[in-house]
Amino acid sequence: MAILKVAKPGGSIDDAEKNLVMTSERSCMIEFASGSDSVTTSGGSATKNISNQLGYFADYFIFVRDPDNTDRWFPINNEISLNVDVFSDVGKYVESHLTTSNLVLRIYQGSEIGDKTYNFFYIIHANRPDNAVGTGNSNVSGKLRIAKDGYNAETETDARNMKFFSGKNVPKVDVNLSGNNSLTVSARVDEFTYRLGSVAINHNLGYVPVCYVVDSSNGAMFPAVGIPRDGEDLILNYYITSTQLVITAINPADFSQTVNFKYKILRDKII
Amino acid sequence: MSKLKILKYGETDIESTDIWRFAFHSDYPTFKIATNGNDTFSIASGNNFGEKVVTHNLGYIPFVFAAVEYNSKLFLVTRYVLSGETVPATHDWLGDIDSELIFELVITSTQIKIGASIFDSPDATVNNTVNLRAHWIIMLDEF
Repeated sequence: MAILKVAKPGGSIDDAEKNLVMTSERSCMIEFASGSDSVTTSGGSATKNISNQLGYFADYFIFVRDPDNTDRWFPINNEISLNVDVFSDVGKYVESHLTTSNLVLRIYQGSEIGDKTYNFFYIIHANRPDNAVGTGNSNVSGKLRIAKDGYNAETETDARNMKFFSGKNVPKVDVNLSGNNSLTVSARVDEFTYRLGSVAINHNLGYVPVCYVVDSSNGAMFPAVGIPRDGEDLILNYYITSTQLVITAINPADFSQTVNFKYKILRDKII
Repeated sequence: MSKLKILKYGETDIESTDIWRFAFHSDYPTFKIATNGNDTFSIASGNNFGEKVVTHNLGYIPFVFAAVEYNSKLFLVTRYVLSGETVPATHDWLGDIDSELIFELVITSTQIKIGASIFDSPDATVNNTVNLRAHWIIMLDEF
C-alpha cells in the first residue's frame, strides 16, 4: 500500500509521526461544516439550534463573541464577562451540546444586563467523537482521498470512513505562533472582589484565528470556569482578537496563584 | 522545497498567502489521530463522582477532544463543563435537590480522565446511578 507523508518545512518524512504535517497512516480531524450565526436573548436567555447535517454525534467546537466587547471571541462552555465582583449579576454564560439532529447553543445572562445579540462561529467535524466508522452518508468530496483501513478511497462515500479528503478543510496549526507561557495573579482584593490577570500574545494575523489553550499541569482545555470545588482554583479563560490571543485568570483565593499554559494558534479563520 | 497545497472550493489563487483559503497546506501541520474510542461509565448511587480512565502512554500531553454522552445529548468537555442537565440528589443539609451534572477532563502524559460529578458535591450524592458514555479522540500532536 502506498503511503503519503508530508514533513514540516525543514523536516524529514522519517521524523516521528507526531512531527509530520500529515501521514496517510493516521486519520485527520476533518472539518465538515463551519459557519457563523447569531442569537438574541429574550428575558435573559436564548437557545439556538443549528442543523447537524451529519445525523450522528460528531466532534464540534464553538467560539462566541462578547456582545459588549465585539472584538473578543471566547471559547464555548464559558462565562464570558470576566467579572470579578462577587455580588454583581452581570454574567454571560454560554453552553452547548450536540444531538443527532442539531448543534444547540444556550445562553444565560445575569439580571443586571439587558438582552444582547451573540455572534458565534461553529465547527462540526465529520469525525464522530470517538472517530468510529459508519455508513449511510454520501459526503466525501475532492480529488485527494485517503480511506481508513478496509475501505476503498475511490468508492467510499461516508466521511466517517475516511482519513482525509481534500473537499473539506483540515485544521492548520501555525507552529511559529504557538507556544507556552505563564500567568500569575495576585491575591484577591477581598472576599467580595476577586483579582483579574491576563497575558496577551500577539499574532497580528489581521483576522480572528481559531485558537486552543490548555493548562500545562493537567492538559485540559480552557476554559475552566464556574466550578470552584474548593472556591480557590483560578478561573481560567481566553479570548481572541484580530491581533492577539489573551489568556485570563481570575483569582478567588487570598494568595497569589500561577498557571502555566500552552496554546495553539491555527491559520483557520473565525472571522 | 516542494509544497503540497489544496485550495478550498471557490478559491483560485494557489500562491495566496492567506492560509485560511487552503483546505490543506504543507507548511501547517494538521491534527493526526493516535487513538480513539468510547465506553460507558457512571456515578454510582450514593456517590458524587465517576470517571473513565483511558491509557495512551504517548509520553507527553497530547491534544485531545473529549465528550460525554448523556440523555441523548453530546457535551464537548473542556476542563469543566456545566451541562444544564440535572439529576436527583440528596444534600447533607438541604435534603432532596436536583443537582446539575458537571463534566471534566484531565490529561497526563500517560492517561486521560473523563469525569462526571454533580454541582453540589461534596455535600450531595446522587439518588440513583447516573449512566454516561465517554468519547475520546487523542491526537499524536503534542500540545
